[in-house]
Amino acid sequence: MVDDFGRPVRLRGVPGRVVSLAPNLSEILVAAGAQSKIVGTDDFSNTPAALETLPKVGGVEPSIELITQLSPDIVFSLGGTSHPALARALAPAGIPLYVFRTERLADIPRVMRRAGELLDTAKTAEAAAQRLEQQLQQLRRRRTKPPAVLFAVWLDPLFVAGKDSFVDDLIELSGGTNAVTVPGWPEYSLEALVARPPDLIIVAAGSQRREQLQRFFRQTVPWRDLRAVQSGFWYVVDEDRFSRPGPRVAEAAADLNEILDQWEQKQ
Amino acid sequence: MGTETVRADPVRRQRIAGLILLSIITGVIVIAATLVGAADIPWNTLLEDEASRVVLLKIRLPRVLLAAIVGASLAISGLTFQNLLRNPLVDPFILGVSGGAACGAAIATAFGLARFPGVIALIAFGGACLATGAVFLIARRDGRAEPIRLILSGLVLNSLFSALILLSLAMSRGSDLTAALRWMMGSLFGAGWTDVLLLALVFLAALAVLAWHGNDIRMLVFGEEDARSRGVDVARIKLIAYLVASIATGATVAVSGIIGFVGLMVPHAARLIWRGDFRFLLPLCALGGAALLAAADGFARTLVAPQELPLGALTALLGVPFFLSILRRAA
Repeated sequence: MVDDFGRPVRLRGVPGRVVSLAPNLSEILVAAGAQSKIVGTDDFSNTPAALETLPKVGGVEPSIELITQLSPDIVFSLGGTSHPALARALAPAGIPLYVFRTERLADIPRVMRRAGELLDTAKTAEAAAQRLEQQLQQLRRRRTKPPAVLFAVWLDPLFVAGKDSFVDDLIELSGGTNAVTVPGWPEYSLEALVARPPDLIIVAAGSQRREQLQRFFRQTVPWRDLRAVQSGFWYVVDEDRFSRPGPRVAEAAADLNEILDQWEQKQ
Repeated sequence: MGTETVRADPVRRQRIAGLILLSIITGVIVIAATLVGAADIPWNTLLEDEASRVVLLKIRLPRVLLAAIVGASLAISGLTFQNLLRNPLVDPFILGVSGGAACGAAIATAFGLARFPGVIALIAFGGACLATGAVFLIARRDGRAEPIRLILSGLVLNSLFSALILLSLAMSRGSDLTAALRWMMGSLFGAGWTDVLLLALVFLAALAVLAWHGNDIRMLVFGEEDARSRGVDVARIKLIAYLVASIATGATVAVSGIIGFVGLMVPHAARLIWRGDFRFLLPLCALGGAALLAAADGFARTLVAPQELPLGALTALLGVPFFLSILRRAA
């Protein structure tokens, strides 16, 4: 058996104890019907609330000691964010590591099904995956004039959701187009922003308050001169929903639809 | 020298006492560092508790030992470089070793090889060797490499490597960044017995070679002409010493990333406390480096567990007050 990155994974029977090292993976596992098998998580897994009481094993460099003491049959982590030496670090304790890829929207139901197969909860997982796919299908919109959307994860310096990210997929699902054409989550040029101005701007709020953002957009060049800013077409969304490719992406898609509907009505 | 003179020589007796004392301190620190960690080990029921036994023997112990060996290797490499280059400000990374290794690792990460850690370590080690070789080729003139030319070539190449690292990090997709940066900040995450055994072999070989040629290396401090007039084959000794110290440094960077301070400051501390020449400082530096890094890693693992703090920062935080106090006393 190999994981999402082609690494071989050796399992002894169906895993009964799982440690999840990413908040979105924890959410996916719960949706896939495997909540009772989760014996520990990373520091940030807090949804659903029941996960908060489980043992926490750390962040990017989780504590191998704590993971080992939980005696899991398998550890789940996420490609990209997990430590490159994680598999090697777990090897002495004989704990297999399965690395998932959740970069695109379609990865979410896929990982849900895969987790169900691995943990012998395939039925629940299949139902949850289908429900998510149906929800997303119902949220799909076609708009006569698709707006160019800039999705900013950080404003100064400007980091954005680029092509081939699940946020890019969400924008397209909602009937918009991504104003950014480079892939991944790049640091983005302000010149490019001005040269290809977005019709609307979405900010993943984080800790910044609305008034702070208001001041930033009003005062900062080149933002204050953008038509989208002057017309008030900038919106704040919940950071968690848009940073965790998990079962709650349907809520993110609904948020996005609402924003794009509002924009459309004002045209 | 007969046993009579050993007993009679107070300086020598003081040195032996210093060695024994530092050995005991290092031993105590290594044991203490093995007793603490993110996981609570139930000592009473250890025999029945399989998971905790694995934590202690397969995860914590190799990590503590690796910290000690990395510290010892960096300290003796630093001492050697300071001697060869006759410059107190150089550290083991001066000749491009760190930049070469980090560059190799960062580029390997950018090309998506991060999921094969063994490959990364190998590429890092290769990068370190290539970088040192390049520095020598650049610095050589008329078949000789003057210390100042070596240092300058090393500095310039290190700048080039930093530039390449930043570029490859900017180009690598998304959050590979965190892991790669973490690696460059120095970390013993995921240390296993294989790392310990490999690095121990490199370290012991380096220590043996440096000790064997200790007398000749010591004489290089007085300048190459002087050493030559005392019958030292300067070119050969320099080649051996540079090679050995670079390989030892490159091997540590490959397993633990770049950990500063140890290689620069431990030799100075040893000199300030005990004075003495290269042959005597060599074992002192090995012990001091081992003690400092084992202690720093112990704190890095436990202060805010289960999160781990960057080892390089803890090393400096522990080392700076200690160093300042002996600097003041010596002055």
